[in-house]
Amino acid sequence: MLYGEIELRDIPLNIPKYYQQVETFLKPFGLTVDRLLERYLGAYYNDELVGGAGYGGDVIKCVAIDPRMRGEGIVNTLISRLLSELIAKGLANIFLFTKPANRVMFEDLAFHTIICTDDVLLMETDAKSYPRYLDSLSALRTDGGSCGAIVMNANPFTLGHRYLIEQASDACDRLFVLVVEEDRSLFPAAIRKKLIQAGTADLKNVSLIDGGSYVISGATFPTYFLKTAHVATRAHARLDAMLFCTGIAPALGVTDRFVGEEPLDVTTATYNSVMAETLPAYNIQFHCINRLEKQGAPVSASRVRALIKQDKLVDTAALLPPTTYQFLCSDEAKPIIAKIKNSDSRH
Amino acid sequence: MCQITKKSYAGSLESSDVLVQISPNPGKGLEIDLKSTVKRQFGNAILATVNDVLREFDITEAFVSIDDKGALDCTIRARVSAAVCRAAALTDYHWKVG
Repeated sequence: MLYGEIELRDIPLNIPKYYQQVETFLKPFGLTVDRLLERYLGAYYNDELVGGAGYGGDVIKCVAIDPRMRGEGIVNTLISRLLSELIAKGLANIFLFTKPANRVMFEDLAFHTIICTDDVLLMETDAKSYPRYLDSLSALRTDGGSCGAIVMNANPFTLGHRYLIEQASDACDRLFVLVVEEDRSLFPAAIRKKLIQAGTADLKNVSLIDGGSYVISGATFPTYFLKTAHVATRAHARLDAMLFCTGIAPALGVTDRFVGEEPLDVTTATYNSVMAETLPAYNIQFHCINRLEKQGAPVSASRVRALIKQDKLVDTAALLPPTTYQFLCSDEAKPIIAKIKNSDSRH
Repeated sequence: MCQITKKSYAGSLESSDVLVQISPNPGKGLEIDLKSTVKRQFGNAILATVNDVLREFDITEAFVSIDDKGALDCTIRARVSAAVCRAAALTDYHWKVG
């Protein structure tokens, strides 16, 4: 047994030397470090990094063990330690993002499979969480007729979003708008949702649903929240698309999925193309709706945020439904506007 | 009767320990999901212990997930008790001595 000589150490990723050490260690495993990894725990043997695991938000990831050190219980120790830290933070459900080959190992470590694609495996500790989310969706389902779905972040809700929802609402008997719940955007989830609600109140066949942890979240699509395109974006988009096709869409009875055309943002464009490839096999129609244009350019939330950043709040009125514009002019929006002015985030 | 009001965890996945998760299970009674490295040999004994502790606390509705790594009976008791106290927000538990 080597066990006594294994030493666990926190690896401070904010120090470039250590960041590079982790990057080099993970490379042979086909894993990459990203900005969303907030904590990394290393297992050292004779001062050499032989194993590690980390987390960002409620997702454990970048778990890797030197093949020479397998069978020593190092993964158990690493995962146990990270789990207890996350549990101490008060998280009820903890996710794990890993490779499909690790499925059996993690099923023995308190994790349950949510979905497995060719490239990635997503698991969670709470065996009931995903089935319960699907049950809650099934309760909203109405059979017969066409049922559309749109996933949107709406950061914030613009006339472009409104146009997409109108097109979909016209084309379907019923339309579900799934709102991205992950709080990594400049506009908090509760406000994004409130503005969509206010801006679509007149459309009677539209219902809003919380995306929860299973629709574009830090667990299903971590790279969505990174500023730049990432090598893993396609694999993550595929995982999210598979969850939609195999779980969410059947639970809601979705027949049609709508997305907005994406000429600029690489991540969203990748997501759209993966959706277009995946949906037909599950008998879901894919519709890509052209962008609404105003003043010679597509209306987008990033254009609105750019105007706010340039102190041109008045100019956003032409791009926004009155409900969103009124919100931006209210006191409640002041901290968000201040945040936008100080940020260079994609979100 | 003791009510499970929130999700809780107790224990770890280290060798000779057990990770216990308890969560509310509205309208579905008691449900126990057991995974153990020694399930074939001691599965029934582990379930008996878990049920025994749940009875002591008068728990009739909960989802209990057990990931056992070969814990002794006393360890299982301690972990399940701790998980129940956390999930039911009990603070006045009198730990028995001897």
